[in-house]
Formats: sequence, C-alpha cells, structure tokens
Amino acid sequence: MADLAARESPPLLSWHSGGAPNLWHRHRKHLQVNSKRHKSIFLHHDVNIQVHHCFWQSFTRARHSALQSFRAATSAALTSTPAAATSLPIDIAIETVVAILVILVGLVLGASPLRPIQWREWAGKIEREGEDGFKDNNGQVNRDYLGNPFEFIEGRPNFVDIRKQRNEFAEWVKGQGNQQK
Amino acid sequence: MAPSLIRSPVQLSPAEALALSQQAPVVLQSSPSTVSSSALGSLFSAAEKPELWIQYENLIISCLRAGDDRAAQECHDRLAARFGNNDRVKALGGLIKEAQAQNNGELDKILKEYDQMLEENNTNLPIMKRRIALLRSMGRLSDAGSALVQLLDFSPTDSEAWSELSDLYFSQGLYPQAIYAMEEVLILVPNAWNVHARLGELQYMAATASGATGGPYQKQMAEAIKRFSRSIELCDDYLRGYYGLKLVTKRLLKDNAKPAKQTDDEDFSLPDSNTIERLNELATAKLAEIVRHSSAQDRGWRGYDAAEVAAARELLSEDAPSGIER
Amino acid sequence: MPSQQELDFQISPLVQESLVHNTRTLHNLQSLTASLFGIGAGILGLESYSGFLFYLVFSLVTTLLFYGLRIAPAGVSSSSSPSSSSSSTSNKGGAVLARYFRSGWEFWTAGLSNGLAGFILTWTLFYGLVRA
Repeated sequence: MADLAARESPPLLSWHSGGAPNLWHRHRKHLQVNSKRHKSIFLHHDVNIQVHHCFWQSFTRARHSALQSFRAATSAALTSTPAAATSLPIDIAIETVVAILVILVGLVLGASPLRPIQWREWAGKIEREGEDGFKDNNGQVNRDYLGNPFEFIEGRPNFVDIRKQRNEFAEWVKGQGNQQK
Repeated sequence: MAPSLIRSPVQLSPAEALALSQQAPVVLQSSPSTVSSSALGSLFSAAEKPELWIQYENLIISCLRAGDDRAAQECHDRLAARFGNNDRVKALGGLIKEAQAQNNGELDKILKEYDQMLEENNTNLPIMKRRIALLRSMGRLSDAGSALVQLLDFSPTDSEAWSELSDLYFSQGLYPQAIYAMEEVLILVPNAWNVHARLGELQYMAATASGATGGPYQKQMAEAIKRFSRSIELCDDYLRGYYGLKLVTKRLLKDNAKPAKQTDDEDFSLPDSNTIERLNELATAKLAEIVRHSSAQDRGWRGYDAAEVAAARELLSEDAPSGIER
Repeated sequence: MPSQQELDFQISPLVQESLVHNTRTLHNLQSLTASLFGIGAGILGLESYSGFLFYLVFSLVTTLLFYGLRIAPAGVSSSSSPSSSSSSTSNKGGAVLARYFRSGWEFWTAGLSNGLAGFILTWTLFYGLVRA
C-alpha cells in the first residue's frame, strides 16, 4: 500500500506544479482580455472565473490534503489522516477568501434595483421617471411595472367609445397628411 | 419608442396608438396562434403568459382605433379560441362590431344583441359596460345614466363605473353630481393621486363655471386647494397637482377677495391670503423646476407627458409679466 | 379613535409591492451568498464554532456591501437632485435605509437566519468532498 502511494505521488506532483497552472493562467488571461470590452460581460466572466476558481481551489485543496496524507502515510506508515488538515497552506486560504469576496461584490452589484416603499416617493418615481425608473440591470423594463396603477380609473378601458376614437384618429391622419403637403 | 403593450391604450395620443397598432403583426407572428389549455399540451408548446392576453386586449383597442380591423379580429379570434365564450371576450367582439358599424341602424342591432345577452344573464358586467358606452356614443345620455346607476346598484365597488358616471354628469354640466361620484371613487381607492387631482379639477371647474364669487365659490375653491395638495402629498413632483394648485391660487390671488365670513363651516373655509401666496410660490417653483428638467431631458425626468409640460410652461409664461407688474 | 401610528400610515402610506420586492431581492442575495460561504468554509476545513463565526462575519459583510453599494448611492443621488432636497434633507444614515426597508433591525439581521440552512448544507458537502 505504501509502495503504491510512493509510486503514485511524483507524477501527481509534477502535474500539479507543471502543466495545469500554466494552462490555467493562460485561460484566465484570455478571459480578462475579452472582458474588458463590456462591463456587464466583465461581471459575468468575473463571476464565472471566480466560481471556476473556487472549484479549482477545492480540487487543489483536495489534492493537497491527499498529498499530505500520502506523505504522512509514507512516513508514519498508515496513521490517521486528520492531522494533515491542520496545516493548510496560507495561499490557498487567502485565495479562497479573496475569491468569495470578489463573487460577493459581483452578486451584490447584480442584484435587481430596490424600489422606494414610501407611497409619495414611489408615485413620484412613476410620474417623474416613467419606464426609465423601473428597469433591471439589462435595461429591460420590469414585467410587473404597469405605470400608474390607477390610470384605468380615468381611462376606463371597458367604457371606451371606440367610434369616437376612430373618428379622432382619422382626423389626425388627415391633419398629418395636410401637414406633409 | 412605442409605449408598453401591457398598459391600457385608451388615453394614448393618436401617434402612439398608431405605433402600437403597427406592432400587431409582430406580436401576432411571434406568439403561437393557439395555446393549449390542457396540462399535457403546455408541456410541449410555448409557456402561456398572462401578459399575452392583456396584450391582445390592448391590441384590439389600438388596432380598431387605427382602422386595422383585420388584426383586431385576429386577436379576438385567438382570445376566443383560448377562453371560449367568455363575457369579456364577448364584450370585445361587440367592440369590434361597434367600430365597424356604418350607420345608426347597425348600432341599434348591436344594442339589441347586448340587450338579449343581458336578458340571459343580467349581471354580465363587461356587456353592461359596453351597452352603456354604446348608449353614450349614440347620444342617449339619460339612458346611459340610468343604466349606469342600475349597474352601480348591484356592483357598488366598481371604481371604473363610478368614474364613468362622474364623467357622464360632468359632460352634462352637472358638477355637484360629478363631484359626488368622484368622491365615491376616492372612498374605494383613497391613495390614487390622479383621482385626487381629478376631483380638484372638478371642484375648480364647478367653482369657476358659475362666475359668481359667493359662498359656494369659496367653498369649492378651498376644496380644490385641498384636493390638489393631497395629490401632491401622495406623489412627489406631480405635475398635474402642482399645475392645478397654481391655477387655483393664482385665481384666488387675482380675486384678492377677503375670505367670506364663514364661521359655520370651518372645514371648508379658505386659508388666509398669506398661506395662498406661499402655496402659489411653491407651485411656481416646482413647476419651473419640472419644466426645466423635463425640457432638458435630464436623466430621471423623462416620464412626463410632453403636452402637460408644454401646458405648464404656458401657465408659467402667462405669470411672468404679471409678476413684474407687482 | 385611530392611534398616532395608524394616522401616519393613513397620511403617508407604504407601498406593499415595493416592500415585497425589496425583501425578496435581499433574501435571494442572502441565500445565494450563504451557499457560497458554505463552499468557502468547507474548503478551508473549518469546524464547529469557527465555521459559524465565518458565516456570521461574511453575512455581515454581505449586508454591509449591499448597504454600501446599493442603498447609500441611491440616497446620495436623490438628495443631491434639487427636487427632493427639501423633502429629504433629513435623509442621513438610517433614514436612507427607511426609504427601502421598514426597519433597520430587520435589514441587518434577517440575513443570518435566511441563509443558515443553505450554508450548513454546502459547508458539510464541501467539507466532506475535500476531506474524504
């Protein structure tokens, strides 16, 4: 068993320190170059990178503890593993915390905008800003935005006098036509 | 940009209605012609969105306005395919027929159809409303009024119908009744700032219609001030409220009338001229600010209606010379 | 006879839909980030009290960030615009919060209970994945 571990560990180590980080760094650089084009894409990529990063770290960490346990196993010949966990390299810990903080900022900035709860402020926002005030981060007007919810009381859509409106529209079209001539 | 299709298109300008009706082909093409209502069918077809049906309803009205009867009929057919012979769909079908009617004979025929439907079910609200609207459109105001009162008898919480009644009375010049009906609306929706402003406008028109400056005049002006003030209290930077307030206070200042000796009815006595003066100044300042920001298209000030802003500008410019005189 | 508070609500009512929207936005953010913290705690191999302390600190950081990035700027921009300068000159500190949330206490502490279950779930999962 110990022999097996000793035989396994060198290639694992070389893979860890050799190919993968380079690939990883290149990948990250590529993404960062792309992300400078758009702010929103930057945010998304950023979160993607960081989530990626997080999983990467958990694998690093897993491999690290595996290595530790293999070393412990080779030296102490199959003693219990938890002792290895107490010495986590500081760079992994820092990277984890930084990654969490960056994702956190991304998520907070990506949360949908709040709305005023005071009646007069909310109503004033509807009157003053119209649709502009109720857009989400993608610039789309929110689906539940209906403008002034009491507009129908004065508009009275169920009592609409369609013939009058039709005539008015025809007049308006005529007026437009005359203007153009 | 065309206004949202979710919102009711009744109060839009002709240009906006045209823009909306031109969206009809796109909407009709982009959504499936039939939506299955069965649970199994909805697994395979596009998801059913409640907004779609509202869009269809609104499209019918704007297409009829713009004379695109074919698109309106298509929308109605889709609604009928989904909801069957629903009261609301029937009312929309009646609306399409009304729009296409050429003469009074055809209108009478539609009216008879409505009557027939109401005989089968005399609590059919959408059809009742269409019937009232049709009566009013044909000029039979008293019939429309009595039908409306009958409707409100069994459905007294219908704010839309109260508002229609108020408008009906108003069109006949019956201000006190119009004000009463609007107050009923206010009982149902006490926080609707536009209803407060509307009531203020009614009070102002009632006060100025007679031309007298007696006790009722002052009482109505005081009411108007109160209503406009409340509408502003419920809605920051409310153009219509400030416009009304400015109008009322300006007139009161011009009258320069001393508050009548009204000790019996304290609620409805005018505030002293000092307060009126300050209200006037406040309204002027606010209106000027709104007009300035809105015409500069500042960020966060683009929601105002261009016509309303223009009216406010005119009111302010009227005021300017008189300010120099003083 | 209505109480003073009831009268206040009558005069300046609250918008229930906005209140629900704001609470939901905050709640979504907190449950999402709580799972994230669980991943972090699992990777770091935290156990018992230190794990909960980690959660406590990071939830507070989340709420602080939310306050600093989303609420405070809105308060600044609105009070700098001349329109509401008269009405919101008193908008300082906690008053900015009152524009969007009913009570400050609820805002600062609701996150702790909102995300705790999600935190423990991912914490144990990742602790197990990394350690086993």
